[in-house]
Amino acid sequence: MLKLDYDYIAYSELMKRVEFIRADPICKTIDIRQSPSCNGYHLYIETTRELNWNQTIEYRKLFKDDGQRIVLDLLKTENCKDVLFSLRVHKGIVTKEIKMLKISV
Amino acid sequence: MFNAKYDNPLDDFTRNNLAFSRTDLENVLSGLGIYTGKTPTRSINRDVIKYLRKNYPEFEKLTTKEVKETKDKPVKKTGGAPPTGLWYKKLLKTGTTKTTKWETSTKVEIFTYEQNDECRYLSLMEAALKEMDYTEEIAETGYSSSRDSAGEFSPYQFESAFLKIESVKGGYTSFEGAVTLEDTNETPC
Repeated sequence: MLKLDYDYIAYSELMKRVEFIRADPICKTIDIRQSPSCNGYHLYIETTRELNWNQTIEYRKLFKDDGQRIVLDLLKTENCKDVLFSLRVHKGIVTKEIKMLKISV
Repeated sequence: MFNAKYDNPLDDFTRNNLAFSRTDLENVLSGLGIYTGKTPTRSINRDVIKYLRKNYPEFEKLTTKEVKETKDKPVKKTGGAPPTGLWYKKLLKTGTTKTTKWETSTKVEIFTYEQNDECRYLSLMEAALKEMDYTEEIAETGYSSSRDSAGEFSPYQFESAFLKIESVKGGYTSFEGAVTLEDTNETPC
């Protein structure tokens, strides 16, 4: 599964990127959610084949995942790589991801 | 404009060469020697594109209206209960932790694997707090649950979890290892 984080982008830009991802043969389904902090979108892409770590990074770059996130993931240990928070607690306020769309290709 | 009479050389070429690139088509048209205008390359490119759009549906150009319709088309939604038997990795990670007096820089990471997608935020949180200094509390956290087939062979399957408590400033790890989780019957995340 590919996980993408798009922060601070407009809905129209998001849909442009989704169209691009849909056209790629690797994509099986795309689950689009609003991020818990409401400053962007989280995309969960089910792939048509299993990807290794290097391929995952390549696809994340191709699909314009947050660059900072890619860099940090390359520096991280095995345990906590490629994480997108579905629930966030900040100053006692709990925010969750909001499901938007699930697209089957 | 594209002239139909030039279809033939490209047709012949594509018939005889099943695998070809766009450059090959451009070379065929270029070799004809009929592009004598001011910008022959541009004309060749235009004609190749026209040929591809005419003969290969993947090159078909949509009108603005059609593009808009494509975007607005209702998408297929997959419904029903989530499939069972899949492994999920549930992870809880802190942003900041604090004592009663000041913010600290302790980093906490705890995860477990489970075969269903129940919310385990509180279970993980409580297990982490048990191992932390009693004066410290978790101020900011993120929880993630995502499919991960590695869970099948991991020793950290629910109710076991892997916890790491690390002091960022001091650079030392105060706890690293397995902990046991309690089922807190949480509402879905």
